[in-house]
Amino acid sequence: MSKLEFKQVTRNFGAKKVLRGVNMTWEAGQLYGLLGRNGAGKSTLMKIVNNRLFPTAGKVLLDGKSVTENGDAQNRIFLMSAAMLYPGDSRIAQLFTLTREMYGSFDDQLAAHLVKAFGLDPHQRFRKLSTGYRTIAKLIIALCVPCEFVMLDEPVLGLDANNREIFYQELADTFASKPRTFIIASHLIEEIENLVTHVFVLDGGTITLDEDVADLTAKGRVVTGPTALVYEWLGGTCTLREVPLGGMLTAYTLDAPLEKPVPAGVTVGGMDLQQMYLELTRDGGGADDE
Amino acid sequence: MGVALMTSKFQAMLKVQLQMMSIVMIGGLFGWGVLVVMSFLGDTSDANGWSGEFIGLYIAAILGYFATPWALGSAFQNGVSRKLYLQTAAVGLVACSAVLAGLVTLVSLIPLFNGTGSFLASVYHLTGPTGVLMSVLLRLMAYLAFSALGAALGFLSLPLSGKVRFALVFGIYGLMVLPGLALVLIMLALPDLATDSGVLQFLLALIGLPLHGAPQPLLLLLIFTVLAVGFGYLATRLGRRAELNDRV
Amino acid sequence: MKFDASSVVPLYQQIADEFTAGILSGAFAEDTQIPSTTEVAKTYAINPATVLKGMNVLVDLGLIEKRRGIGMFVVPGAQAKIKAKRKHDFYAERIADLVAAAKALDIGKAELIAAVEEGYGA
Repeated sequence: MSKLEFKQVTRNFGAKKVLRGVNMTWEAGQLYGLLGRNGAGKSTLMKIVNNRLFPTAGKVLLDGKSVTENGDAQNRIFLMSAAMLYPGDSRIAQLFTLTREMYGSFDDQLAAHLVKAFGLDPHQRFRKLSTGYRTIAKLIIALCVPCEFVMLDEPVLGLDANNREIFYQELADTFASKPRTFIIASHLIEEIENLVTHVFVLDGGTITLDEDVADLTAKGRVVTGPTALVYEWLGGTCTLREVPLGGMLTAYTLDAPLEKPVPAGVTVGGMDLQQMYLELTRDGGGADDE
Repeated sequence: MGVALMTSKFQAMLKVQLQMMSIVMIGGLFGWGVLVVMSFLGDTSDANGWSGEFIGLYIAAILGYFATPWALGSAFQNGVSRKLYLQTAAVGLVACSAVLAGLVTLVSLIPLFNGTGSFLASVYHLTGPTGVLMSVLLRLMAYLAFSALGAALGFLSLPLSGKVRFALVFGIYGLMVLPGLALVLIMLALPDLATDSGVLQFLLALIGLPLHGAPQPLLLLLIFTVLAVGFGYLATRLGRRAELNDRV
Repeated sequence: MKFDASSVVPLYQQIADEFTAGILSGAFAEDTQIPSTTEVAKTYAINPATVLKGMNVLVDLGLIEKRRGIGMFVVPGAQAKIKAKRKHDFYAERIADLVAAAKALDIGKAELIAAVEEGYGA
């Protein structure tokens, strides 16, 4: 099975250190979420994987070989991003052809299905499309390329609620019928939390969370009750944040001691990914570059 | 390049390069065409002839400066390595330069358009089949040198904003055409300047301009070849470090 | 079907629960095919691996079975099995909870039985 490994990936822009030693591994056939505040460096990281940027230090390895300036590796990697890099005068159908020529093959059947599902006119010129439909055109290409690692940077930019739903459904569908690895960087966490099975949080230039969503939701809890009782139940458990309100305390933890009986007066509720992410990155946030 | 030539990615990237270059070629050749028609309708003058040569050089420079980095976006989007991208850019520029050199020389051979492209031939006394071949070679190497210089400038200016880069297009034009025209006008007004001024004579001799001496097309060819190789090396060095930013 | 991401019940269990409820209500009749993993994944935009995990819970409970090359089918007798299981859970958990709650409010045995009888009568 193929895998992409990040080894101490570092990137500076002048004096600004955007990535400060990123370490993680992307396995084959997974749907990952890459989360981070604006300017955390998600796009920079993906651009390094796609050879658009060089790392200042460190390496990204595909099956042990650096992906930088590696044509063979880049044939297996795709990045869909906000940048408008296609020749604007090309018609959508021509972009499909171009992509086939570049990557050797293209899922025409799926493309035809998606064009219909989204109501995209394949004879329209790329430049003439609205922001939403440009995103859709790029998404269709991203779902139809024969690459093993497909990175989607802000995949729903400018999409309305209906088209977002269609996209998530079609992503689940194509992922089920043809497993490959997708990495989604999105700020709309609640919309992808049932789709991704593993999340990475990029904060302060490093990966601060690298967990299965199932593990996170299994032990991530919001504990509310009288301050003393909440502390008593939590014991020495590490909390993400504690919000006192009079004599009451709300504590967010990723490691709730679920084996202990909950004292009367204390409520223990679940925490969704969005909430968890908020508590994890509350004090972080990056510079202005994204 | 041998193996890379066979790959579909090379062919696809080359196609993108040629697409971008064809836009510049068509626009440039239109301007050049206007000049050719003007020479047919009106007087043939040295200035007109020089302009014809300069437009050819300008097209070559813009091919390198604009069309080449322009294709970088498609390369990045399609996972093309910089190495492959630079190979296709080189093939594209050589092909365009050859077409341009052939076309300019071909038109210069038509007596009707005398004075437009034939300037080079007349000042260097390039006659007969050898002369025509030398004209083509001179132009080809000159275009290659200018397009390589353009490409180097193109990569160098990538971090600048789109507007600044666009303004540079006219800057390049001004830099190339105005001194040339000024030189021609000075020489027309003061025909004895070259003989009087030692420095000017030296400069003219250096680029092989044989106003008052034996033609030196071979020296000119050598100079252009050295420039083409040098600028080509520079463009490759800069291109190998090119990164994606919002301007590409 | 409806899924709650902030629930303490894991998503795969929620999927299993929804299918169980569907079989119990007869929405998924016995000996008929149920939607495929891909179909469920697509309809609700859920990771197919999570859907599969939920389906496997039902396979382990003997409620659905895989028929090679066709898909997943509701096992004959699944409905009765679910009812029996729910009945068992009812006695094991609900009644115990009910009695504990009644005791905490000083409700006596006779009082509670009377209340249950009244509930049936209504």
